[in-house]
Amino acid sequence: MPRLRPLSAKLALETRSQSSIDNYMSRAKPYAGLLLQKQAHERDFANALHRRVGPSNTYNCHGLTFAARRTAISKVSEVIKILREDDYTRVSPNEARPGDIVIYVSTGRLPGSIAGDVEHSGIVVERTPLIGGIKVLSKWGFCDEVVHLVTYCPYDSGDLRYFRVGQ
Amino acid sequence: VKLIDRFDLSQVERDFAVANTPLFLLRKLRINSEVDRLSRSLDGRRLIHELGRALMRKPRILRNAVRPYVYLVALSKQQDKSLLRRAAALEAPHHPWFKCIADVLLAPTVATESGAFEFPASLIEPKAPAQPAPRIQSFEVPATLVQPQAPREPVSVTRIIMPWED
Repeated sequence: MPRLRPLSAKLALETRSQSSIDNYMSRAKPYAGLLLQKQAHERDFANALHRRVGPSNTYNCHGLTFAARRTAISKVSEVIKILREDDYTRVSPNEARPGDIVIYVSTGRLPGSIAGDVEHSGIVVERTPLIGGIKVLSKWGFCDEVVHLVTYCPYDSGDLRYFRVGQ
Repeated sequence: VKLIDRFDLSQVERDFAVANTPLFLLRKLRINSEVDRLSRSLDGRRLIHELGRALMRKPRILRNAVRPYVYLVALSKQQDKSLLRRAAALEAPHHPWFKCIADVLLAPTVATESGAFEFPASLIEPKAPAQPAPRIQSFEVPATLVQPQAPREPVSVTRIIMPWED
């Protein structure tokens, strides 16, 4: 008999230190209108590669970066917990290589912003010869997955921090 | 024509579509001119009434998904904070970021001597001493996530206690 799958749930997700990671997984149909937003991104960020997936409510950027696309992680405290307990170490932008991750820390200098929010994250997939030429794969909210230059996105890129996971 | 349709929420919808965190959405709502206009156009009781209705509906379209957040931030821009407290107590079964944003809006604002939020020392590579931070109106995430920092140049920032800071 096929197993029933919940429409939304908190997955039993843990760090390497077995601390619970707060998350929210929704399999609900994406809101009508998100497809138009995705198409708008493809126009507005035409120099990025927009993957033919999404929109999706199931996972967000942190869910892609840290939870294998299974669920959404929205709290900065959970991201920091993962970085700490999964043995990530910070690397400089010059050292960042494919497979490392980048987080976008809000500087608090933009109007209305809250310093320290990790408002975006992604996985480094390529270094290019351009200045600041690091390409990342990331999920843009409820919309699509995008391969983009690290600063070519709708997030505050004033404080980018790169990390490499410990072995 | 519904009341909300008199306001252009297309930018809010664009921002919501790419929001990974409630604080990103809050940042965008705080600077949205239509949210400002809504706050000036409607009295608090009307906003609460509309908010209550919007929270009860399970959203299927983007416009309905953003409405409660729009009303909430519009309410926060008004003088009477008692209505904001009432709003924060409403049930939000279909809007998972509602409580978090409401808590941030209600959080006490305190002056602090520390600068912007820093990561635990173990996650920070050794760096040259930072330049003194400029005077900014800002907010800070939980102190519980931050290890003791070396003394730094004092800066004037405003800090709010985050909802997950117990």
